[in-house]
Amino acid sequence: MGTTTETTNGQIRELTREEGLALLDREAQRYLHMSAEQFIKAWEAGDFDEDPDRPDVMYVAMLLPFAK
Amino acid sequence: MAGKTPPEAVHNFLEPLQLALSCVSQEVLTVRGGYYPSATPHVLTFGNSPAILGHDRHLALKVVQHYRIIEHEGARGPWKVLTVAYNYTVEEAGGAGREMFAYHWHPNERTAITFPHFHLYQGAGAMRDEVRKAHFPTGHLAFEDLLRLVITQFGVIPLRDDWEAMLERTQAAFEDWRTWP
Repeated sequence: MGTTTETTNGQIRELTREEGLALLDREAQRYLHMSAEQFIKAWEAGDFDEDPDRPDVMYVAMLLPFAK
Repeated sequence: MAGKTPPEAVHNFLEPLQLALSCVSQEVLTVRGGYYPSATPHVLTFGNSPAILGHDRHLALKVVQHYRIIEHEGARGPWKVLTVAYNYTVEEAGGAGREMFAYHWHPNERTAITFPHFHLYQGAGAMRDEVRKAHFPTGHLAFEDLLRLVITQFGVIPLRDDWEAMLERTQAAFEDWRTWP
């Protein structure tokens, strides 16, 4: 059971801006049922400020750098 | 982690994390534009999230980390990578997977909670409302400590026989150069 090889699990993946936005969009849809664009607008407008540390909200918010 | 160039410092930062992750998951770390200094932090996560953990596959993990590349005087520099935020969430594996607990540190997000902290969620069982809402203060948590926790106390069966030595090694490399802002 298990291995003792030194290798990592393949190459660490670097996303393009489009791929990063797609990742953010996918997670925003999955956890908050909104697009990345909708989430960015809502986050910046303070719509989540009442409880920004909800697990779903903070997880998606911390993915925002993927859209920069 | 340090390096002669920014990309080298980032490589020296990411590779131990990927090795540590290999103890419990086949997932691959995913970053965006994160190999050069930037005014804003870089981000890493999994390509496919959450990552199902271990041979047992009863828990899953979501990870987001923010990091910065800075200049640093010293023998191993002049470039160094600092972790500046993290979100480690453990949840039940499977379609309706409920979050069980999480370690957070997000000092620059839209919240007054700037200290590292721990959350208990509904997936951990019935609890008082104050417990569910609380931000329990913690110290800064190394990724390896989280992986060791799920292996030793939550029954995750590691994917590698050498997981203990591997986590010790990657954490020692990280702690050699660890500076929390």
